[in-house]
Amino acid sequence: MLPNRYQAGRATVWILPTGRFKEGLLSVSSVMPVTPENACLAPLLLSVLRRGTRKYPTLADVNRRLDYLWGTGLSLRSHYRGNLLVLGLSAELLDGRFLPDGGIGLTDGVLELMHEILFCPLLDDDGLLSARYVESEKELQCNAIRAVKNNPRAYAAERARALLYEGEPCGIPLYGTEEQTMAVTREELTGYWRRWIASLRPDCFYVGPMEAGLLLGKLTRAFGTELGISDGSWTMDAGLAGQMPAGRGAACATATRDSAPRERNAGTATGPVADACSGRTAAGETGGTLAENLFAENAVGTPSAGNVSAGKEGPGCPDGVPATVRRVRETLEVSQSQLVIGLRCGVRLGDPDFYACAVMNELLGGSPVSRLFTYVREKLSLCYSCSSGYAALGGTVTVSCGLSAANRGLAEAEIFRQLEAIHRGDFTPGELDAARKSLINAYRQLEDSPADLENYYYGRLLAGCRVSLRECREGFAAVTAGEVARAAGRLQTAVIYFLEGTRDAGGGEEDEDEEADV
Amino acid sequence: MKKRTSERLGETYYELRHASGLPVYVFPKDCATTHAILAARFGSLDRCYREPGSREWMTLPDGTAHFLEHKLFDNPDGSDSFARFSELGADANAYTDYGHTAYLFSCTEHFDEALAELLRFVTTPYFTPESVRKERGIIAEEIRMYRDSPWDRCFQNLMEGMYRKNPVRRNICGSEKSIGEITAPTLYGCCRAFYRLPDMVLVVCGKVTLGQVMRVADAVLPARQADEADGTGGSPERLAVDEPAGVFRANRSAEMQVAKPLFSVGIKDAAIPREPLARLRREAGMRILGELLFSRAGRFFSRVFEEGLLTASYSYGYSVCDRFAFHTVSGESDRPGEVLRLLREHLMDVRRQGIDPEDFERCRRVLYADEIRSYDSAEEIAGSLLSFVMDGVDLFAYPELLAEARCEELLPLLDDMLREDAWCLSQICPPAPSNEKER
Repeated sequence: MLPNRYQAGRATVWILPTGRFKEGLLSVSSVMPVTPENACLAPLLLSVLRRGTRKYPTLADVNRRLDYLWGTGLSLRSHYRGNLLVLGLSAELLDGRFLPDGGIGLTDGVLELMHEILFCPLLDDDGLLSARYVESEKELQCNAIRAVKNNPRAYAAERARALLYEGEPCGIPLYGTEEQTMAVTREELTGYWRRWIASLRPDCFYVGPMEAGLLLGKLTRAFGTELGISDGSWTMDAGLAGQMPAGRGAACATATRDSAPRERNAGTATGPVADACSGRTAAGETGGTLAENLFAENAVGTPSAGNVSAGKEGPGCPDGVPATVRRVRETLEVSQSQLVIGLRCGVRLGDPDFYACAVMNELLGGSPVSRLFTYVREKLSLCYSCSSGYAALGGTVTVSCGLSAANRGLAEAEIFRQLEAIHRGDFTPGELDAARKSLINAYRQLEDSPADLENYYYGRLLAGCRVSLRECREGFAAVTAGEVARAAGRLQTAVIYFLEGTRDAGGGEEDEDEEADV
Repeated sequence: MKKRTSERLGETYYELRHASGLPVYVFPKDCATTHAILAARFGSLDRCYREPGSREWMTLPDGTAHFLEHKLFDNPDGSDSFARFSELGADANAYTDYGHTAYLFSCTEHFDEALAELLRFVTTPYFTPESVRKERGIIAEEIRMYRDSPWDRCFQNLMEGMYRKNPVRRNICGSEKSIGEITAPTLYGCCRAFYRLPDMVLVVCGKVTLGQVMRVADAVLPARQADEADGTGGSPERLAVDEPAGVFRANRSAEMQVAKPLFSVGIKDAAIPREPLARLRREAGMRILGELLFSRAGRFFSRVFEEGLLTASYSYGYSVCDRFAFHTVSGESDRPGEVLRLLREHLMDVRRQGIDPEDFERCRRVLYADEIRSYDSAEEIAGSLLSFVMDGVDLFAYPELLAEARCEELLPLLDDMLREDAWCLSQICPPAPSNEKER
């Protein structure tokens, strides 16, 4: 099952017809290159647009409208996909068959609201975006930047990511800095919005039961003027498979599962995680189409040579970390420390070794039977969580471990010992089989969610791949032990980041107020 | 066998008791993933109990149910059940809640074998002093991980503020001290008392049939209820807790590395009906009321957000079981005390002015839609079904109660919420001296 592609004016629509779900998905997205300006302005703009429109001037008005549209969830979309910044809106639409009113007007209503948000924001009398909303959202964006430290694990991951991708576009922090954000003026942001919508060539994605002609008619009515599709002359072609340029790679995946470490116990199984980064650099202007931005892309971003171990080949140089590896230690007043090791493998989406690298990562730290989980956690009892994630868009693998500061040396040594073991091929056929099956199971489960389906196929669009879910699973199934060992051999340690907790970890905090229960 | 159908949702599930005494619930669903959960009615609340025929109350160290959950994956032959699931391509996990412990897996193939493994490992406890000792280090790190999370700390402090005696105030994972008191005999004793098949529940959702599930159960589980065979057994008795209606402390505060103060307001609901359907009816009413009072489309949020008193990080909810119930409203604010004051003021305004019928319909519409969308995921369905079974009600009763709810029924619930001694504020503030927290 691959999405069908329709084109008219400046819009491209991808439709994955299915009647399996009670709730479908409709998204409108555009991509732009990651630059310091886009990283700061694009998410800020989207938040300001969502804050109020001409017809729904306050946030409460927008939210009430969504409530009447059967509680439709409307999400802002501003995140990195490698060196691309994806900007847009995503709505989860209930199937009218399950609604008392048959869902009459539901899709039209959601499209009207999307149109309002994108094209009809609340402007002050001077024609600029609402001063109140711009100033408020600047404050909120600064707060979001500061709040990263609230979660030590996420903070450590973000710091390691920034170090790993330093010098690359996706190393630029999303939201920019507080200084950049506070310096944004209404004039600047309004100009940015006008340029964006003037050149907007969005990709719309639909997963649901509606017949294509009906949906295209609704899109024509909602966005006809702005996107040059008023005449409704849509053309259909062969879909995803037919639209992808040959040679872009028969092997690719988004990092939905690739970078999603799972944790055992306590109900903390992690869901799909969006990929953080890639090495691809997209050309194209703000708001260009996928086709323009992706297929005109000029270079595959390569790791900065200065950050890559120039020493012996092998999985992260386990016999001693080379001098070129960047070691960074920081402190935070928390009780648990965080160790994050960033490694480059250079295997990205579209690379024939993608499948081997994904299986290698699953074997290393992607599952509850992985090497890291089994040895660092279960056998040595050094931590609660120790996992690895493969950022397939960036060609990197990241190992993360939450532990006591005193255990750092032991954990680090064991992590490299396991990397070395995989590189030597020192793993059983059963372990390899389990890693393959784990990935196959995870990718099959994507078929049960419209959002996961969209995420998968949109990720492939961004990478220019022509791989169905089934083909992807076949790719994992075919990976051999030798290929896994070779993939491990490509790993080069680039960053070892340690966030040391400075609060006393022992003893716990008993509640002095407690009364006897018995 | 009982067949339960919802015309409204277009869904059906079946319930049946296996010969071993295990209640089995099967929800056939056409999806790639099949999700199964085997759960014991043993959670962190069950810390004082006595076995049938015994006059002696046992008190367990905090975190025992959670510790047991970690250790149950070990097998007598030295293997780990995670590895067995992994060989089948199934994704296994487990979690401990206040009222139950659940062992689960999801898979897209080899369901029968994976279900057999689930039934086998949960009913075959095996602990050694050495394996218990090793697990302490892992769980201590888990405790530290949660302790470093400001939101988890804020919630834990809220529970300690709202409840004086109810064990819901205790951390599900326990403390580093309490887990040191847990031994292999402790865990065996808990299995004997709480992991009796008639007291457990098996829930399966996915591309399966009732017959398929029962065939696997027949192959793995005993053909007779163990208690009938030896004339012993029976469910353990839990020590009832005499929890006061009002909160223990109205304010809880702690300092952590946060960019901005975090807060959770708790509103204790002490009027919990004993009868499950009545409890569910109250839950439906409370949820509509919560949506009406706290949602992002409502007057309260709109006012405090537009005034800059709240950031976009905001949530609310109502939690209920037979042993506790409360509303929470959580967010980030430089002035949590002022948010609390405005929240109370808002509830009193609504009480004075009455509930707008149009608002009521809007909120009911949102909750109804939420209910429908939860029926797309096998995992979500299985989780909901388990929760309803544990509470003793039919899963499909909830949408019906939502549809039946009347605006005027909400006013007495609002009165309960407005009791002054029902409110507690928990806040996490940045460390002094930048801290300007209110007391």
